[in-house]
Amino acid sequence: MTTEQMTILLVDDEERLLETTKKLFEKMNIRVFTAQSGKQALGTVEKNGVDVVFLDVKMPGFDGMKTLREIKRISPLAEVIILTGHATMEDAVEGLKLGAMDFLIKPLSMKELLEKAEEAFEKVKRHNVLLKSMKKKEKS
Amino acid sequence: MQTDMYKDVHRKLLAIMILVPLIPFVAALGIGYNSYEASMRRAAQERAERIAGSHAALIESFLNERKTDLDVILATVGHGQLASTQRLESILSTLQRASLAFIDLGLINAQGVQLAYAGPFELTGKNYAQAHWFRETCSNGSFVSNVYMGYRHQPHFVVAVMLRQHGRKWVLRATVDQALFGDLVEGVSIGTTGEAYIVNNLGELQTARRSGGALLEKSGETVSDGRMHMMKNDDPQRFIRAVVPLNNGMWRLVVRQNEAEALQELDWAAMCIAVVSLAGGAFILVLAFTISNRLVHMLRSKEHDRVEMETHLMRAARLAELGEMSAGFAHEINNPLQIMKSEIALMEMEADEAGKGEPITGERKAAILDGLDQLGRQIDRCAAITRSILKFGRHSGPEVTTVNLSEFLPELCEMVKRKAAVSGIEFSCSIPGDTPSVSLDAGQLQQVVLNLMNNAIQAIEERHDNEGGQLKVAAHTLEDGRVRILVQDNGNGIRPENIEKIFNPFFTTKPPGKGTGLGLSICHAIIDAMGGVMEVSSEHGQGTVFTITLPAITVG
Repeated sequence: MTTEQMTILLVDDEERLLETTKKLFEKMNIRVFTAQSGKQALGTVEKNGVDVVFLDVKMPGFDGMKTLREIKRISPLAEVIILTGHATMEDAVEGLKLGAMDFLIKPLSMKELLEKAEEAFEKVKRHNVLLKSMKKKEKS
Repeated sequence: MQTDMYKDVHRKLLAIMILVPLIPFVAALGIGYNSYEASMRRAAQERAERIAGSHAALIESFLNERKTDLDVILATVGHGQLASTQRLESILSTLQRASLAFIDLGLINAQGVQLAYAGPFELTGKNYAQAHWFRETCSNGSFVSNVYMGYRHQPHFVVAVMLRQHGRKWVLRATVDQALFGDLVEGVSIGTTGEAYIVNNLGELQTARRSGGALLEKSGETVSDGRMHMMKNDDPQRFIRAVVPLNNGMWRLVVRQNEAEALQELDWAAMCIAVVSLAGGAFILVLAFTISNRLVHMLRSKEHDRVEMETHLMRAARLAELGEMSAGFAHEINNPLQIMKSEIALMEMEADEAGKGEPITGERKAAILDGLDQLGRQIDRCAAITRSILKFGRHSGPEVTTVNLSEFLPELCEMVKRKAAVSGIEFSCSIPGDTPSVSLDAGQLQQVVLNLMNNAIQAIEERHDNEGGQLKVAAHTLEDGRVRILVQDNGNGIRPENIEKIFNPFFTTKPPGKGTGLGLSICHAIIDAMGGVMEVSSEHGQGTVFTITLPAITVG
């Protein structure tokens, strides 16, 4: 079904988490970038362009909400899934308002992560198709 | 310590409740008794004086009458006729018809020789020139003698008057019946012990005394300088006594009554007072005991309620603190759990790829072993977190132990380290190894320090959002041996108008529902109870320093 390869960005301050999850996704033939901080994540998004971002909220330095806002500014079509160890209602509401696709609480199984990622990628593809057709219309 | 305080309060309360009513009560009874006694004594004294006065007048008039009788005889009859014994006898019998007082009658010339005598004794020709009464009569014109025995060996006294005619002196002398005279005095009676008697200047009884003392005996009283003196040794009983001078100061009429009898009613009053005192005193004692017991009981139960309330509040504050911490704990546990899930997934995948029945070797084996090792690490991480949660929740009742701050404080720092890190706070914990130990409840100190650190993190987050925050926990020993713990942040600080209020219960700047305003007030109370001091200094927009100064256990 998927003709294009999905690109995922994992943002978390836990190095081992990034490493292992990256390996898992790569085994499923998915391109994976990792970032240990918000700033690093923004750099990756800008440089490589990603489809799906898994974003931690509590991070030293540049926190998740700020990162989310910036990602949405740089790459509005990228789907962001918030993945956090500790959820507050405020964070959830704010995240969804800022355009996050979902708000998930750790721990999640690999299967669930994959499902979410695919769901998000479907959305991205739909949006891309829509965008292309709109561009075509504009041209004609 | 608490019960001792109440015992002391109880003692003081009891003393006050007994003394305050008892002092005026006893004073009122005492004053009442004294004034009653004084008025009784005055009344008895006045009665004795009244009786003495009226009797003295009676006796004086009796003596004067006798002198007047003789005066009249001397003046009207003339010494010539009086010199005849027959005439004298007829005059005596005339006198005796009027009054039985006279026993005999005699005329004496200036040389003291009795010229004529009428009476039961043979006294004609006797010479009285040396007699005291004779000389006194010659110089004063008249005289009433003391009672004496004289020639006839019977107690009697004489009344004598003098007449001066044609340059010659005559003395008319009469003997008064002492028995009759005595009746005048001895008949007086007041109650059963009241009596009257006459003493002369030498203290000799001139009349018999009912309470003991025959005629001419020493009465135990002397008269000198016109005043009467008692001989203390002879006077074992106390008397109410009235004294009136008689017979130109030669005699004293004494009216006296046994004080015990005169003041008999006082005994009744004293008994009444004793009964009232005992009953009243007992009443006061019973009242004081019941009321003070009840008061102390009330105080005790109030104090108990207060302590219970405080315990509840502290428990509530601890729970609030635990809630605050739990956010961090959840984050810290969920992260390792996520890692474990990923590790397991990866290991499963490696195992699947190896194929059925194929031994896992080489790179795959290394990858799986690495995953297992990672599982172990993450489990340890979770265990450390649950341990610290349990440690926090475990302390239920205050228990004073020796707490080694150089170990205790770094442990606390460990608990908030990650929380500070996720908030992007530069956290430093400098606790010197030689920080002294303190004696207190570790759970309470933990609650206080954690509360301060959490407050600091919140204040930093408000100001810095995720960068540039600094939190410093430090400890050092003061010169006086106390130990000081500092929690310093560069958060948004406290407004000057609030700094006075932050230790007040229920004061909070947080929006409703966000904070109880109890944290700092309870911290303050806890440190106070430990005998320590908790202080704050803050600059709005710059940061805050909380200091806790605690008495350390002196080493050595």
